[in-house]
Amino acid sequence: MFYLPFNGSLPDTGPAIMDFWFDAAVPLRLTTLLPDDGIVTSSSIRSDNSTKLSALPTEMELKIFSNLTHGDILQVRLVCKDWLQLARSNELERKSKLIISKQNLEDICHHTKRQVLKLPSRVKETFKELNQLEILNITNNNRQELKRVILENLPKEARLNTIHLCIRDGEEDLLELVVQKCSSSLESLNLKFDNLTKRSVKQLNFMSGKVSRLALTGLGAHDLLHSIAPKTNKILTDMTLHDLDAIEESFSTLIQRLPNLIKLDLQFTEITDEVMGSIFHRLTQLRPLLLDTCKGETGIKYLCSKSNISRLKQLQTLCSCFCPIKVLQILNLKN
Amino acid sequence: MCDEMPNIKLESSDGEIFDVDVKIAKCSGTIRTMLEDCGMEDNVNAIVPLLNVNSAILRKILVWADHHKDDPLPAEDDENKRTYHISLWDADFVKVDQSTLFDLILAANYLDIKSLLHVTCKTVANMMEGKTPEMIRKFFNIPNDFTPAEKEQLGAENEWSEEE
Repeated sequence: MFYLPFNGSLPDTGPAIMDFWFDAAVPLRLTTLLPDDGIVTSSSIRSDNSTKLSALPTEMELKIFSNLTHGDILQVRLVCKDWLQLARSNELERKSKLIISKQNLEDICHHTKRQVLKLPSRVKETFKELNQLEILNITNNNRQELKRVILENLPKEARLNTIHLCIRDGEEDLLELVVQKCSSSLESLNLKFDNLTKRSVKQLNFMSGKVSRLALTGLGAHDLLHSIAPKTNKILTDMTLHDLDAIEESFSTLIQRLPNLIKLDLQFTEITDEVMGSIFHRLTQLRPLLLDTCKGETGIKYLCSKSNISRLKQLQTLCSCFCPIKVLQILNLKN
Repeated sequence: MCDEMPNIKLESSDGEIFDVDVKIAKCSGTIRTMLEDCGMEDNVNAIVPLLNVNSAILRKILVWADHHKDDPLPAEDDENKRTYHISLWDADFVKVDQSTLFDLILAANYLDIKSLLHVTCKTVANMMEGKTPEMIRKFFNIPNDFTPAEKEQLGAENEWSEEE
């Protein structure tokens, strides 16, 4: 719909026309030729001869079809005879799109498990498009090949902030890929190692001042300091260490170097009195503390030792099988 | 008339004259070529007749051209890569009735405005996406011209294709 400018007079055509050329484009001629009511809408001008899709030349129809996936082309060609001819055109490149919906998710998982799903180059293209991806969890060990394809094709501009990844022997380059592509955006790293090698320690060392949440499984105690806190690490707030092979003195040093830790998860890791004491002494800001299942009365002793759990004033969650009621009794804590 | 901003007159198929900034008019490859090849650039009084575009559509096209006047021109070999980004503004622009949309396609083709052609064709393709043949026919008002025998044969052929 258009309207008449400035009571029908034509505005000056100067530089300012850029701003209101829409108005200025209504020519004088129209103001004199208009019927009495003075206003014409675009629909009333062209109500009788509306343009149909079939009015488009073949070239344009092909252009439209070229935006469709192969699955949609199969439907489109059954619409009419003309389109059946068109859909057979060699110009139409065959395109497929993997759309994951609630309905087909189960099927896709099923196929993936059975490893039926092959990885043609188009799937790789799909991963290249994932530049909005923030969280990537590829811990499924059965699909090593898929893991590599995803990481290799992940676009550089992806702003991944969380990654969960299993790194098996000989896959250290995957961690290198992650660090290379996402080191500036990563905030949370969850890694499971079969066997931590020097190569991986080097990458962890590089990431140590960058991520705030770190979960590591399969780390050797002697690698702790070097990979998590080569020096004081103020960034790390959330640390999970599972299956640590043996706790040594280095663990106490590690804790000293993590002044801002507020979550600590040491389930499945045996800890000593000394370690427990240094946790209570140093990590007074801890909110959740998750410990291994205790192996008897000693557990209770830890919690009630000189530097005891009462120092953790911020503690909100305690996960352990230490008998909490008994601990409270011994410490005579209110609340 | 200001020297930096020469205007050009475009005449729609129904005889309406549009006084348009040359920079805006040059969004059209057709007009660009004409101006450059025929040396019409200095002749500000020339009227360019656009026999295939009516005033309503031309007005809309000029809104598009004005919005996109500062876009870089697509490289010649870029056409097949389809790297055009469909902005919210573009998506809103093509929210029109089917007839207008098809007119826009025809005009974009005639005037050689590649970005508009891409956006409009993509919009029509989106309307087809995920629909059955019957739904597409109904949506675009297309008669089914297959004979029952052809239909049967196609059915068999399609099953075969699905299994591919």
